This record gives sequence, structure tokens and C-alpha cells, in this order.
Amino acid sequence: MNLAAPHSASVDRAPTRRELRAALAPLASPSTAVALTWLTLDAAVGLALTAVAATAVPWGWKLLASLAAGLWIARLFIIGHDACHQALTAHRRLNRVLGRIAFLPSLTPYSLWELGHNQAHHGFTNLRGRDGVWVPLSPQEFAALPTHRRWLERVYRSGWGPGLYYAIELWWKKLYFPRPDQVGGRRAVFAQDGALVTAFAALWLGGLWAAAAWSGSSAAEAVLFGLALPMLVWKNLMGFVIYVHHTEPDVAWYDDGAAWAASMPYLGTTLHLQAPVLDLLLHRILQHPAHHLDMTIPFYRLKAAQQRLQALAPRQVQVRRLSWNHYWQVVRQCKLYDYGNRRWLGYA
Amino acid sequence: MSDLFDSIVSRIREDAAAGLLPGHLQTASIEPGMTLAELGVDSLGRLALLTALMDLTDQYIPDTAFTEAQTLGAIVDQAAAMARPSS
Repeated sequence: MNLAAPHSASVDRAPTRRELRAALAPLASPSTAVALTWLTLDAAVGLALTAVAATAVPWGWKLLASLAAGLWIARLFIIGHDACHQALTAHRRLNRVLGRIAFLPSLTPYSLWELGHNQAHHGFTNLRGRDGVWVPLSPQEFAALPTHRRWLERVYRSGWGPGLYYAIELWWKKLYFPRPDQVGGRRAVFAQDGALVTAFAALWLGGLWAAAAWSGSSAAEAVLFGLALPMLVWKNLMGFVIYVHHTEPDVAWYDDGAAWAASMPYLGTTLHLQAPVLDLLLHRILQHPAHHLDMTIPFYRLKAAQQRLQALAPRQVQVRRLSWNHYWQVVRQCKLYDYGNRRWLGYA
Repeated sequence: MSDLFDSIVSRIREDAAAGLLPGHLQTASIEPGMTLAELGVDSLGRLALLTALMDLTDQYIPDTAFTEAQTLGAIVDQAAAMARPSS
């Protein structure tokens, strides 16, 4: 197969993952200088926004800074996410340090993220029993749930629940001091990373209290606008982004590894969502198929990688324009999943 | 030893450095004839090995690879066989 001429009439089969990764390999070369620049810049802006949110007197500024601080938590998280994939710099140890730092504002324990995201989610995207992110229930499973749990599932998939889903199902159950049975085992580094983000949260609260005392404003307001609201924005952004990239009527889930493997899951289980402003604000995370194909491509090269990927596999890469209408259509159609026939269902 | 075996040993050492596999595997001798139990690999470690093998071979490898093969070398051989294009 001639990958240099993707539109050639001779191309009559889908490119393999290995072929696509080889074609994109030149883009998987991180720059430590670029990484450190973005991390420093985003950390400085995030800190400034939090300070304004905690101390500014006009409510409008306070609110605006608080909402933007939530967005900056997400930006820093995406830098940490790259580090965890060893895509941020060429130095593994440095990546582990920078990743832990960048994950602090989102209170994300690095090692548990590595386990759940790098191994389970990327290793087995949309394969039930392995991938643990936004796994749809079958109608039978849903019907067997107790009433309160069915209600919670409905809230999660109501269109307004991504933040709640992320907070409870992923952060609380699988990232923040999870029970060993929830993540498959116990490691000292899990507890250490949990303690690290807890210490950071305490420092954050202490800083807000000090900022409020210094500026003569209320400590409760400082915590509300300097931590609670940014955290709400962050969790909703995170829950939303992981939902829309892997949930859609044309995106299948599997409960059989062989069928999953035969489906080109490296392309078929995710979407390229087009929303240029959001994509820019979120460090190109919407160039998602390229990221899933090769997690070692740094965020600042993902757009080029995605363009190349779409040229190489135009029939396999699924592209959608991310809009309000698109989101709500997906929400309406994707509630439960028929694994036997591989189709999304609504609630009966 | 095969290139794939060397690559998986390198990934084991990286995962050990990250705390996902037992720390002694950063420097300990890792031989093809060693079982996962001898390496100290538990269920979480199996997941790390499985995803590393899948990543290195660009091939889905079922869990049965770990039950059918007794040693790390046999697991790697099985993964390599699965990754080889069928004639």
C-alpha cells in the first residue's frame, strides 16, 4: 500500500494501525522547550485567574475569572495527559514530574490516571469489561438496577450529567483513593499520588483563605469562586469531552474482544469533532482519532497529525461538526446499548 | 532473545519505574523462562503487560495468552505469532 498517495485508485483496503502510525511517526517528536513554555504559561494564567476569582470585588469579574479558571484547569490537565502518555518531552522521568504538577489543579492522581486511561481506555477503547469510560448498560442491566441507580444513570445521560458522571464514576471511584477492587489492585504509588493531590487541595484552600483575608473579602466566596466553581467547570468539561468522543449512534461498543479487534478500533471507536474554538482552548484534544492512533504525538502537533490521518484513511475516520444540535441528538439516541446487535437504544 | 522480548523487558522496566509493576523489575534480570509469578506480576501487572504487548505488536491479544503460556518468553512468542501476517 502506498501511503504517500492515499487517494490512489490502488488503495482498496483500510490502512493498518501500524501503517498509519508509521506515516504519523515524524509528528511524534516532543519538544521540552515547547512543553515547559506551555506549562509555565498556563500555570501562570490559571493562578492569576484563581486570584482574581477569589479577591475581585465586582461580581462579574469574579464569575468570569472563576469560569475561565475551570477552563485553565482543563488546559493544564491536557498538558499532564500528554506527559502521562510520554508525549510531552522526550524524558520519561521529567514527564512523570511535569505530569504530576500539571495534574494538581484538577486533583488527578497521576498513576491512577495512567492505569485507567493509558492502559484500560486507550488499550481497549469501547470494549466493555476493559475500558471503564462511559460504558453503556444493556437494557437488561439497566432494568436490574435499583431505582436510585437507574435514576442516577438517567441523570448521567440526560445531557446535563457529564460533570456528575466524571466526578462520581471516574474521579471518586477510580482516581481518588479508590478501593483496590475498583482498579484491579493496590500500589503504593496510588496512595502517594492521592496524598499529593490532597495536599495540593489543602494548599489551595489555605491560599484562598489567605487571599480572602488579605483582600478583605469573604472566605466562603473565595472558596466558591476560587475552587468550587472552577472545579465544577472542569469536571463538566472533562465529562463532556470524553462522552462526545466515544458516544454516538455510529460509534459501536463491544463485549467481545475478537470482534472489537476486527473492527479497526483504533479509528472506529472515536470521532473527530470539529469545533475550532473549543479545540484551540483545549489544546487540540478534539483531534481525537490522531491521539488515539498514536498517543505519543504531542498536543501541539495533533492538528497536523489529524489532517494527515484523514488524508490517509478518509473512509475510516469519522468526522462530525460539534454543535448544540449534534450533542442533543446524541444524548437523545444513546442511552442504553444492545451489544448483540451493536446499536444504541433509548430508554423503553 | 527476540526484539519483541527486548522491547517488552524495556516496557516492564518503565512500568516498574512508574510504580505500576514491582520496583525490583527496574534492574532485576528478566529472562524468557521466568513465570509471571516469579516476576511478581499480579492482575494489574498482567494488564500492563497485555497493553504493552498489544501496543508493540499493533495486535489484539486475548487474555488467554496469559493462561495458555506459562513463561514471559512463551507469552511474547505467542504475541509475536499473533502479530505475524498470515500467509
